[in-house]
Amino acid sequence: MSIEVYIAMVVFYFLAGTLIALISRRIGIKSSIDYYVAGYRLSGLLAAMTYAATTYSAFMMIGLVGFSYTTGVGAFGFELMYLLATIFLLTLFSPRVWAWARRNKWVTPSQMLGELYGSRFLALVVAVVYLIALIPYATAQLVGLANLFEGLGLGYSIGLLFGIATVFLWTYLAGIWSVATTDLYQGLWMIISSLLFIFWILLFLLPSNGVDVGEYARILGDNGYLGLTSFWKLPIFIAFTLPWIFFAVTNPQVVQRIYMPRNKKSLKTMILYFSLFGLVYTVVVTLVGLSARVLTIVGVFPELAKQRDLVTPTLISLSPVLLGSIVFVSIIAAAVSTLDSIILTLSSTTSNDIYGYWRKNRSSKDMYINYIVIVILVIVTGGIAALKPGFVVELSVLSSVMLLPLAPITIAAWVYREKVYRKYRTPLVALLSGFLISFYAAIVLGPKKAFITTFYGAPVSFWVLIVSTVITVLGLGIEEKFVRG
Amino acid sequence: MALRNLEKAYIVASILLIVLAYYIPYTILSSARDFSLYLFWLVIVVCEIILSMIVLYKGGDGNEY
Repeated sequence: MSIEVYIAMVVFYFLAGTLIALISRRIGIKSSIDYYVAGYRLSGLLAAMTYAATTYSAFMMIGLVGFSYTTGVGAFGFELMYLLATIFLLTLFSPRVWAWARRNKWVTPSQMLGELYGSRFLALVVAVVYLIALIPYATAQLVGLANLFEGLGLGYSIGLLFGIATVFLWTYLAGIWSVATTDLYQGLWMIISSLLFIFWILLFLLPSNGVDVGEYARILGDNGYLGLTSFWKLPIFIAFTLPWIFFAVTNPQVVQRIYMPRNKKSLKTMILYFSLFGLVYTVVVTLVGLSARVLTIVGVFPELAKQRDLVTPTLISLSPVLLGSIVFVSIIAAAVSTLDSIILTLSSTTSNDIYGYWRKNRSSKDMYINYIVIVILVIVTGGIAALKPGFVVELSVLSSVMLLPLAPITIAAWVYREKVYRKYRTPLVALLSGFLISFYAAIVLGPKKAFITTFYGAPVSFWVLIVSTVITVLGLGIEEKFVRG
Repeated sequence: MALRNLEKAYIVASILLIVLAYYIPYTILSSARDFSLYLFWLVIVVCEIILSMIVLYKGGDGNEY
């Protein structure tokens, strides 16, 4: 019986989302600006929810729950460091980036960097880096989704095919309009279901096993899960947090969302609603993980420290069927909403800044290449996911490490906009140096070890940031003094 | 880029909050046995949200540069 309920909920989710995507086609797509950045016309609510749903992926309900379960409150700090820095960066920079984007008709973040530094070649290189770095991140979403289907007994391949089909349909139908409207739908599903899930855990599951609030805190405290466990040594905490701190300026799928609000009021609403969404969702998700740890300690939940990605599926299996199916679909929603945003963004950077580099007279109304690139990206991502690579957490963070060198060159361009024009050599060297360090570490050490291994007491992400920042600062200074654009 | 006093104060306060979010957990609260570390991080983010809303909504339209 329960499997039928789960399937029915997945079918309902898919049909309702597809209906929303179809309705969004009424907006009318006439150009790449409509297709990729909504013609700069998104409402504050839509902008906030697409920002949140894009940011918060399957990693939250699978990876972060397992992380909290295994490593305690430090996982909460790790995720909140991201939110803290993102709110700061958005508040500080997004008003001017939003204004510049509509004034200069920016569609992609690589185009933005290319224009700020006065180099189409830089835009090309950045777009290629996006492609290489975001493949693991996109793959992680599909792997997480397919694992869920497998855990339910529906099969990994079925989950993979479902993810591919949904992402393709909801991206292809109306570009950012179908992505943003389904993101609103999926974001609401994610936050409401997570709240229902934690209420059920705190008000029913724990009390029914003899654990009240005082006992909950005592058990976690006595076992060291409310302080920093041995996992969270400072270099490890830095390794995990550093790439995420700069996520808002390095990841194109979120930078692109700064362009989209229809006015300044909508932009402010986007930042406020996203902040509240992020705070509530992070609190709830980490409490789910900590609650599962309490249940393991009192002996009513299996020890899953070595299989932390199974904590949420196991909790779901203990919950009432209807609730379990809603939470199950919320994780699918988190994966799909992140994946379709990445696919759409990569499609925009590939068609605009890679294909467009050679086809300089390409019209923004020339839409067919956008569709072709989406098909290719979905097939490539699905193909890699079929090989079942590594843990979701490590794959996700690795992408951000590779994108980390974009932080100093992007912030420098935003702060010293007029001074950096034509100084494109520096960002090229900074970007490629940092990217190659992280790529080399990933190849030599493997994705899992690449960001937790330390050199001279600091993680790879730290050195990537230091190298790219030093090159950016020194290089821009040298170009200012000796090179005439 | 000309920063106004409000933005300068915001940058200093936010960087201070980020530094505290790293420093305090590894010193005073590293061995917390209650929810103090959890609440500390929570309060830091709530403070940042409040500060950001003040800058965004009270700062007028000047932060577009």
